Amino acid sequence: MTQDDSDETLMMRYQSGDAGAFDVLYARHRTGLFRFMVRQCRSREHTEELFQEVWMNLIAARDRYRPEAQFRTYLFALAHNKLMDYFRRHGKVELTLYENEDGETAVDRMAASRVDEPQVRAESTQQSAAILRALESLPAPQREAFLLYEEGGMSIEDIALATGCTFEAAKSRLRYAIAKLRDGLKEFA
Amino acid sequence: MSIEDRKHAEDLDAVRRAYRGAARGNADMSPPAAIDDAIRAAARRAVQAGPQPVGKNWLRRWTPQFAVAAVVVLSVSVVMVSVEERPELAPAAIQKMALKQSAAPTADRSSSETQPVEAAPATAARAEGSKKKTNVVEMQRAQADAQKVAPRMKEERGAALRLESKATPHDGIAPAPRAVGVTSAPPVFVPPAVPASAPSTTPVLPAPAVDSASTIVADTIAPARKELRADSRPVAAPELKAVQEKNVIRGEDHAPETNVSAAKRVVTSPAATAIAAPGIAAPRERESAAAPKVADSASRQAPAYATARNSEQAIASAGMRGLSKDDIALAEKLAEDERPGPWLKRLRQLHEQKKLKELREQLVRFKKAHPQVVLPQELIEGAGE
Repeated sequence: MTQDDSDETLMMRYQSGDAGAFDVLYARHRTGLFRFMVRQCRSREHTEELFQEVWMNLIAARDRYRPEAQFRTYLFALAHNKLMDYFRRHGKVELTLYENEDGETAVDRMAASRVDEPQVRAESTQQSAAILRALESLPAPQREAFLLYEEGGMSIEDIALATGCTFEAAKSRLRYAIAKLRDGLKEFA
Repeated sequence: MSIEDRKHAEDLDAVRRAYRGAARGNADMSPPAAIDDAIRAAARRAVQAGPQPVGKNWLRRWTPQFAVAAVVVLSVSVVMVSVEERPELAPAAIQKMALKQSAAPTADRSSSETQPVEAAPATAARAEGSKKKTNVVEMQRAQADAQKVAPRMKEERGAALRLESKATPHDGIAPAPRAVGVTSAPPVFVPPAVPASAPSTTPVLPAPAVDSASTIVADTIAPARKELRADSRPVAAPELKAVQEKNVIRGEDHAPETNVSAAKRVVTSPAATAIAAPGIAAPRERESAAAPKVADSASRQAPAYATARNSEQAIASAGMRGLSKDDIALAEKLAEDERPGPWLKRLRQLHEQKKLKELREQLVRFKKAHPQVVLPQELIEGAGE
């Protein structure tokens, strides 16, 4: 029953003291939100810290939540603000794909893990590596728009709301991002 | 769908497929279990904390009740205050109650005051009249009569305000607040009660510090005020009385009307409101009628105070005609400046400043206003008289 409820209903239940509703909500969005953040932040350690802060903010501000906007938009807007604060604190950070403790990016790890797999899957692996590289090379606003669209499952209106830009700007960013990512995949077409 | 849109949709599909494939390949792209546990534990702690929701629930439960209670208390207070201050605006039922309650004390008071001959019969006639007809009918006629009186009252009020506008260029007082008073509806102002026994002798008062601005204002406004004083005496009380008598005579010819139609008619003129509730408004009428006689007797007994009394009377009459409290306060201040002490001080200043022409004019006016005061020799000589 709880599993079928909308995000907004679950959040309202959590507001009124149902801790179980929060668990469902968290399970729904933890991976998408984490990926959204980790693809914009260089350090995994910092990403985990920011991720935790986003959820803590949500818990602290639960009474102020009103179901006028989608919960997903609200959550990703919190994450967007947290990332902006982080970028401001750390100066102009060149956003890259995050690295693990050995300094490998996701692309490196993907290529390494698939090196001994059959030829059939090799192309797919290369394609994945190519798109992650293309994503890495995108300007930050365009990358964010694409990640919100893909990881957050948000519409253009929601992207505009979450990032605080106009509908036209959000639409334009997403279009440019998709066009550039497509260019990065040209060799696999 | 245009070609561009179709191409965009195809690109989007391809990119999404590729991205999802890449995302599946990164199984470690999720938060560690420790963070999950920490967040869930924090969420439970926040919910179980308790005091915050309890307080909020209490507030939510009682807010509407408090709001309703506050509105009721405020409404009742406002109604009570307004009935107390402006009884003529109260509903007919309350007016009747107030009339009954105040009938006996009014009769007692009227016999003990300075104008028993005029006030008591008027009250009695009105009491009889109220038995025959309703207050509503009286209000209707009073309003009609007030409309006749209104133009003259307006003119007088305009004259008083013109005096002020004359004064402002000299002293630089901003005219804005008074300009508001010109356009707004005149409030009913109860004039300050004139004391029955004025002091019989007039000592030359010690001169207080004279404000130069108020001196200029007094000099400018004094001739015009005399005009106002002469004009004001016969207007308020006799005219009201005539209107009132007319109402009593004509009252029986009209059929009583419903409360609803009477409620729609809002009495705005001071004259009309004074007549609308006879029993309640009677003290005011008596006061206004009493004012000239008291002032006259005072002027006979103490000539030095006559001018001041007349000024106060003019102020009282002006107040009856709808001047604001500010206007009255200004007029009172000006009247105070005409007292012998401050006036003599100003004359001395003019003498010291060698403004002989002004000094002569002021001396002539001073002698007229205060014939009993002996002028200092130096001033008389200084003026060349």
